[in-house]
Amino acid sequence: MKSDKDIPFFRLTDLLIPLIASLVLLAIHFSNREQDSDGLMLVVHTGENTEYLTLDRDTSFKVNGNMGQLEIQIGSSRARISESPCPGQDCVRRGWLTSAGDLAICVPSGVFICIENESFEGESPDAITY
Amino acid sequence: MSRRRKLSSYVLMVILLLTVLTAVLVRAVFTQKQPELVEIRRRTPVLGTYATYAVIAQEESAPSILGAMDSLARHLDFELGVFSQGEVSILNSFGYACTSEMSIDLQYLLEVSFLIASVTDSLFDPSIGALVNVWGFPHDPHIPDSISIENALSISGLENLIISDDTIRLNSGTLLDFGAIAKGYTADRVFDLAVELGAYAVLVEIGGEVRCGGDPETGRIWRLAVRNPRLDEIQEMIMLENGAVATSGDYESCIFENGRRLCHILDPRTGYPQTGVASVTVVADRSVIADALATAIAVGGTDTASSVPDSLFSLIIVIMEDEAGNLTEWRRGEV
Repeated sequence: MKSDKDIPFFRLTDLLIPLIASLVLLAIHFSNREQDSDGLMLVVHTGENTEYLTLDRDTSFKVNGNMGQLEIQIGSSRARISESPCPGQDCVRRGWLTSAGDLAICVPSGVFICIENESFEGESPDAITY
Repeated sequence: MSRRRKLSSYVLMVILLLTVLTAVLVRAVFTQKQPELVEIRRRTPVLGTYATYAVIAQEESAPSILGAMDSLARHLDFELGVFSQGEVSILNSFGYACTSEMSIDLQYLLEVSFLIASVTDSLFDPSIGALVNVWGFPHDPHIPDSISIENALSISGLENLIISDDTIRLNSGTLLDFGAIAKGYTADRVFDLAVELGAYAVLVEIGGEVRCGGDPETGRIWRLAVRNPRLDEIQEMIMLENGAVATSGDYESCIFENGRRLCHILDPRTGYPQTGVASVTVVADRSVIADALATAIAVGGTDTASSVPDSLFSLIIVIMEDEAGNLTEWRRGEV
């Protein structure tokens, strides 16, 4: 049987405990970051400005376009142009935008909306050629 | 002994002073205020569409650069448009103009028109103004009768532009319409102005025609999305440090007849809208060239795209659509 004197005050294996704890904390941290990166946002370009909106809250609102007001609707983490004064109504028929990169353009109104990935804001296009 | 001590104390004082002075100088050099660069954007209506301007410039000058860009775009909109009372409208009304009194803008547009017409078998043709009017694009598109189309075709073609020493004359009824390159040209001019005014990097997008670039030291790589012609989503992303991108698509300003799409891109050979090409995207050094080539290739398809000289572009993407609605991509070159 070993006496207390034989047991060293600090062993190298004691480092394992804080090491494992640190790794667990890091894993939690990065898994949370991964979850955040799934967040989508709606970018609304109008003739006057560009707005960034989260898709978390269901809502509808109006924006000014070249031909009058358009209604944009956000629901169930999707977005669409629900009403437009344009004659063709292509933008309304486009329907719901659901994933990053989806866009609806109302050329007569000069308004377009697109969905972008929040955490990849830096990767959103600077301009669209069409 | 005392003199030597005095001397050495002077030397020490001088060394100390020099050290302090050097430190102050070094600090002054390294802490000199660097110009504060900002990136600001503006989106504004112009040329019957919308323009996006993005400028990286010193904080105090960026707003005035944006203002100047906007003013130039509006000026060119007036002068080059066919619905205003600017230079092109006046030329169309009177049928002639003195070249010495012609603006550099109109001279340049004519030069580019002849150049692109020469390399595309005249599929790029800004003298089809009468034909465009017959079809009613862009405000009142409708299907005209065949006699009206034939009449309009008979007065179209660059051979109806007679350029003598100092005069340009249009044959009776011939109308110029630079709608196919005015946006691209304006993007170039506005870009050049912003750089002249001190912008470090600039992006100009007018109705989908883009010109971008600037000082490489800013490290700004512009991300330009190409629209899918049918799905209203991004087809692909083009990364460009310096250059221009233009797209011509059949989805803009079109009408439908018995389910058939009749787009605003008119074939100068037949007088009817082109079919079979959903969109053409061209990457080139200048937006005016990209814009003109995109229009001509939209009419001529991959045959025209194959024959364009390498020196005029870096990438051409043609998306064709067959009668069943299937899309096929064809490309030449790379970015």
